[in-house]
Amino acid sequence: MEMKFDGEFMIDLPRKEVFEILSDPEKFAPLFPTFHSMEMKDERTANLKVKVGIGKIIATSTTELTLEEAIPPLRARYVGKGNVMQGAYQMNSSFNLEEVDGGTLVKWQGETILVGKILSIAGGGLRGYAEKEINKLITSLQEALSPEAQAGKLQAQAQSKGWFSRLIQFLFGTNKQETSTSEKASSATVESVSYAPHPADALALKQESKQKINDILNVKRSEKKLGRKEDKRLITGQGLFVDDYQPGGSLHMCLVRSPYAHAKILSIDVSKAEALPGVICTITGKEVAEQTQPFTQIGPEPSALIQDFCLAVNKVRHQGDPVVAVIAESKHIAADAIQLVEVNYETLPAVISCEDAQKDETVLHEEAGTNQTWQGVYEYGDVDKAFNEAAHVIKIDHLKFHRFSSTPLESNAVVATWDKRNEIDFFCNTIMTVPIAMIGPALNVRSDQIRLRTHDIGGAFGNKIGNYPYMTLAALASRKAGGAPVKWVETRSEYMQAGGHGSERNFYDTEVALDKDGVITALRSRHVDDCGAYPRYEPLGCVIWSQVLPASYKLRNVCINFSQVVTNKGPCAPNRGYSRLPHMWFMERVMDICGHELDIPADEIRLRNYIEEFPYTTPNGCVYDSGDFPGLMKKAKEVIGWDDWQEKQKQARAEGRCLGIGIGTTLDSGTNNFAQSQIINPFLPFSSNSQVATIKLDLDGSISVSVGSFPQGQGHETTASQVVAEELGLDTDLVHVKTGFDTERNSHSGTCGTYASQFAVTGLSAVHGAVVKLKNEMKKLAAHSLEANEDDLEFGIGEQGPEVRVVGTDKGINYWALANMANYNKASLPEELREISLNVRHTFVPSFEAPDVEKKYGNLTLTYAMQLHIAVVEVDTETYKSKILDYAIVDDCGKVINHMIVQGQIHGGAAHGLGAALLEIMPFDKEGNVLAGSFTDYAPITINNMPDLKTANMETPSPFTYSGAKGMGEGGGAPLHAISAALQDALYDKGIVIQQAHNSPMALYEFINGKKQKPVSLIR
Amino acid sequence: MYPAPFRYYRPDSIENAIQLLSELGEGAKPLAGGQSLIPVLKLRMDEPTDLIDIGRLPGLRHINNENEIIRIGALATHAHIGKAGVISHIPIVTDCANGIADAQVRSRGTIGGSISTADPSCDWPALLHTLDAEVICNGPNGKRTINIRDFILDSYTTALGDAELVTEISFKTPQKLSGGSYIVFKKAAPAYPTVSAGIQITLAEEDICKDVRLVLSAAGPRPVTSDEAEAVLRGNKLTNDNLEKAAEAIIAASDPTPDSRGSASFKRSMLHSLFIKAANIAISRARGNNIIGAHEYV
Amino acid sequence: MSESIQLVPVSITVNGKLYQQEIEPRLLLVEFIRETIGLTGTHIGCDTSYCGACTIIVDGDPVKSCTLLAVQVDGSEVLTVEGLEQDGELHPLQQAFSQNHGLQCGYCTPGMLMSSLALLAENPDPDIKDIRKRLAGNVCRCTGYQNIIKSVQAAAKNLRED
Repeated sequence: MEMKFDGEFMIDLPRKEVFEILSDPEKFAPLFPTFHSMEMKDERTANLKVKVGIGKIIATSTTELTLEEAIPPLRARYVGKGNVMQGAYQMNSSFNLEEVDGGTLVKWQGETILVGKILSIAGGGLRGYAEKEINKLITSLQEALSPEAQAGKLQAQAQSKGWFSRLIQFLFGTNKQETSTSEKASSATVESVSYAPHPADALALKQESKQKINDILNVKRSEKKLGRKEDKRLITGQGLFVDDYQPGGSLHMCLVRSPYAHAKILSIDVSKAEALPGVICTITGKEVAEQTQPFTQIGPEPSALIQDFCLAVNKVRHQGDPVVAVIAESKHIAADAIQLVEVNYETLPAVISCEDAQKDETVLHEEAGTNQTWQGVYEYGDVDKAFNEAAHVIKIDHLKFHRFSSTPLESNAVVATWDKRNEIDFFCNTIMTVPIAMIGPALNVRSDQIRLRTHDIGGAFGNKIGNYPYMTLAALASRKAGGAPVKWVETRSEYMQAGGHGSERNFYDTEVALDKDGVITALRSRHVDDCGAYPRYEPLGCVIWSQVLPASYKLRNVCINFSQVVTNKGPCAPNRGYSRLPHMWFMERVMDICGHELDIPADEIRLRNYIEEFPYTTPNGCVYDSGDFPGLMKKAKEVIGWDDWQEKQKQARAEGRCLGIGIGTTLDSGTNNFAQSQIINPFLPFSSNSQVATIKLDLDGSISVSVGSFPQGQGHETTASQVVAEELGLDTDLVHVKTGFDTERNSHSGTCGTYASQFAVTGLSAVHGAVVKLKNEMKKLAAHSLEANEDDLEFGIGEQGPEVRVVGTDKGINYWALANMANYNKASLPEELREISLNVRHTFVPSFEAPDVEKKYGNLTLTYAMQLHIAVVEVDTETYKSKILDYAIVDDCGKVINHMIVQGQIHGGAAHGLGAALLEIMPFDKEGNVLAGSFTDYAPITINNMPDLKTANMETPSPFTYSGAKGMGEGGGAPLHAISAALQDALYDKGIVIQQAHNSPMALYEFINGKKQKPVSLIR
Repeated sequence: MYPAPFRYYRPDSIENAIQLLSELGEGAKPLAGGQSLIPVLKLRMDEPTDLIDIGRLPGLRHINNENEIIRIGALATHAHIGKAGVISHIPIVTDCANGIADAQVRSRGTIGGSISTADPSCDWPALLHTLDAEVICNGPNGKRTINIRDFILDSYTTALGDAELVTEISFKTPQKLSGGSYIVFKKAAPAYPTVSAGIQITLAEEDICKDVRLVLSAAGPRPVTSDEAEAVLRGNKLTNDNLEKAAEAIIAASDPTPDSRGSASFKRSMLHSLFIKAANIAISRARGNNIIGAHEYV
Repeated sequence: MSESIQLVPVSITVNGKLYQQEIEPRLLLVEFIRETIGLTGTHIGCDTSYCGACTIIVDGDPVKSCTLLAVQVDGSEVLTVEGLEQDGELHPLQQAFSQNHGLQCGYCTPGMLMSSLALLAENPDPDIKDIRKRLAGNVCRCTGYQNIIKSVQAAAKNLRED
């Protein structure tokens, strides 16, 4: 927030005297109306403390005030910078003095820039107050300079100085006798005070509710089967999330973060922090740059030249950029100590918008020389020809997909231990093995020195892919602290600044060619993605969207110029529906805009454009495996009562009410082919994908499974056990799936993880492959033991539990006996069976080929799940508050393995989409202040905001997976499409075209009131 | 997010609390339910040296009707007020009490703490304007009573003197043919209100307004009232036209801060919408209808 | 700021067990529960009293334990998620959440359970509106709340029938 002030006032003192006061920091500083104390750093610089109060909230602000310019007796100019209430400010004030009638005319100018958390708390509602306070400050300055005030003020200064020295003595204990009377009084009270018990009236009030809680606890209990294998620990408080892991001797890390969006780091002083009892050590960016390699960049040059470390080095690039790590015995001490770290910054212009970033006037990463991380053109078919032949051409000038985040409820966190044996253990909540590839080279350790493990993860939705810099930093901290475990748990405020949000995307200059029936034949457009300050997982998003290039539609001629820029905002990370979601929203917007322009109903124009035959090869070579869009629409219409709503809409319109019905069709492309990364950077040696599972009959014959995924609530233990149980003919209770991920289980490859909607396909295929292998081994042993033919064996439950038996007989061998043969009784086996371990590992690899990098052509994903949403929304045209009157979802993810889990994913994905559409956005001001700095400001969707969802399911099995299942966890964000569509349907009569994905009442109100001209034109 | 260190006291009487606050001076703060103060401490927006926990002071939790005067102890929680039998016939109060934040915050948050904090978007300070409530305070100089209009001075600023505490809030039970409504618009229950509107209206006969109190909240540094807007209605017929005029007058008196919850003009539109809705509910209630009022969410 | 850290003696009963400790006054109740006495079922999801992951019951009422100082509940009775199971038997509310898929990652679940318990203790037959009202201060990022509503309704039904 920037504030400018100027003015002039007369003082009845000679100019020379006024100049002397104004140009002497020692005399000038105490003129501040809320002056508290000061200390001269040198002749020109005063370190002063002023009290800043917002009502009864009173904070002390520290300011370094420097006399920057002094031209006697004409001009004095001060530059100040300081901290207040977790924020920072800079001020520049100049005084020009003119002689007028023996007195002095002071012409002053002031500029203040306020940054930091203070602006984001409580909706930025403090801004107005801050402005008022600064006005007050200037006013009192004028008053203070009046000759009458002078004598008094200087006296006050003397007093304050005295007080200050007393404070210093008190704080540092040099002379305790001199503590002020009030201090004495308070310590006397501390000793004598007792702590009041609950008074009788309070106890009486609580009696009733206490009794009710007692009653409901003491109810009859009976055993019931639970829904998922994971549930027991989670409903009893026995889950193990990162912060629940509390190894003895743990240290705690807190981070000093930049209040500025863009600034040079001039100096860092950690001495006071390190002197605080309980602080073990600190780490600065300088040390990090000396001790680690910059993280690998995925993009090609010049973005490959970006130097990204786990702490800011020399420069900060977003508000919340970590600058110093403090490691202490407790988190409280670490939090106290970060306030004692002094960092001196020189601010730089902040680059906030895509448009500004593209100008390259200010460059974030000098080593790259540009803000653009990637640019490329995706062109297929004959676009020009299609436009020449088109019956209609429609232009859309700008569509915007905003920055938001799924904000997993458990924030990023890690406990890192880099012990003296040079092994690093990460107990963490990352969600794929890629961090090993990032952390290993950065720390110069082999991957086998890194143990990476997760247990329960409190949601991730892609976001936690971005937390490897913090893992790296915590490892360094552990090493520096002598090998003790170092815990870092991101606070929600930190997450809001820097925790990995979804990227925002702008769609410019879109042109659509259509035939006379409204079938889209070609599309031209320019897309710019904004990934925040550091690319990290980017620029992969620059290709991932093209997995769904034509969305659900059959157009063949496409030209999209795609680029991505860095800006001074927190770094982005994949967010549920990563990169495809913005593109699907864009394509659905195009469809609705074209429909309205050509007066073709939203359902009809979709039906005319939907892809009809599967497998379908898209213009860029992706193969949509199976699906039935018209079928989805038919079913969704039934679920919502389409005809009925059409009638109601007519009635509503007749009454002047704005009721809209919107359709959102979406794809969830699952199981990515990593070779698509070569479209971004041909030098990347990545292709295809693989997931691993291991299964064994353990020593006692129990079935133990471990998978290479990092589940965060998707129920992998449940579905993996289903697959195994089905193959072995058992109840899932007999299948034990390890919780979380652990490199030491040896059940992973380099691409393992929970991302890109794939567990149902790759994870379960790996599990299935493993159990089939295990069965083969078991059959061999059983055949030997039972003296039977392998082909005559079957799996099932016998009198002694799970067994392998000869079909049609009671001859069988149980699992314990099989495990015993393989593990303890090798000599009983013939030579050729002795190698059988009943411990097998299977790697599932989807059949992908490398794409044609030049043409950007190839199959990028294995499966395509589909969803169709219909939203009925009524908009209040006074407040632009929209009310969801009805909401239907039909999904098709091929063969469903577990309906309960699939439906849960659909509900959750719908909530994220509705949240993003109506509530959730990460706004920044032009200085780069994070304006939604807390949950209270960001307001993630709650139970009160959720409509009742009506859902239905269809199954068109995938021909490309063993089970016919498709990945479906990300969901494709259809509520964003459907809500935008419904709002446009409601408001189109008023000339409104919805151009933005975020349509909270406030956003919609501002959008409609600020609208200049219709952004759409029908050219032909 | 952990508060900076402070010293903690938990006195057992109001006298001791006041004495401690006086002795400890500027750095000392009273802690009641803590639902506003503790988040501020955790964010280290404020770092008091001493906290005086007044949550155990006896005799400040009552909710009584004494000769048609409702008396609410400063430590009465929002939840208790929302459930209190003696309040149940004053729906504007239950609208407010049951709509503050969420159930958990209502369990702990107190009416005294709320008005002492004087957060410009908090509900009680505004609501109490519609009932001409009196605030009873106790401090080093003894007891005094301050009208709510003179109590809330500015954002986060009250008329409380040093070491002075709110002990009770009182207001007259609305008469027969009186009804009220208080509606908040917020993104979600635990989010800060974007704006709110309240109205307590007394009818002379079917369509004539005998008396009225109007208030807007989160619409300026302190609750917004307007004698002019009230004059539009008082003694006049409750036509849509008059309601519109009253709305216009009180909204003209508002000064909503633009922030991430909305621009000033958006907030004014929302205020208008809430005001008209609240007015219609209040009128209907005054006519004896039992209407459930509800806050609005995105 | 005093040099010596003030320690305040507290006696807090958690799930029926009395804990007597001397604690720093700035210690939040949620930290006392999670770290001082090691019951980590109660979680922290935000720092501004929005998300409700830390919801527990204090003296019969649901509260956000991140917005209370531990010293404030000296002499009180606290119930956390760990106190729902008795003698190895789950509470019908816990069973209902599992059977109706009212949880996915499980991070918000302890808070959801405690808010739901407080609701059902007061209102054995809540309608959807009542459920929304009483769970409005509990954020779940996984379930979209649909199955949470279902779970609470199922639990209410089971509790009424038993």
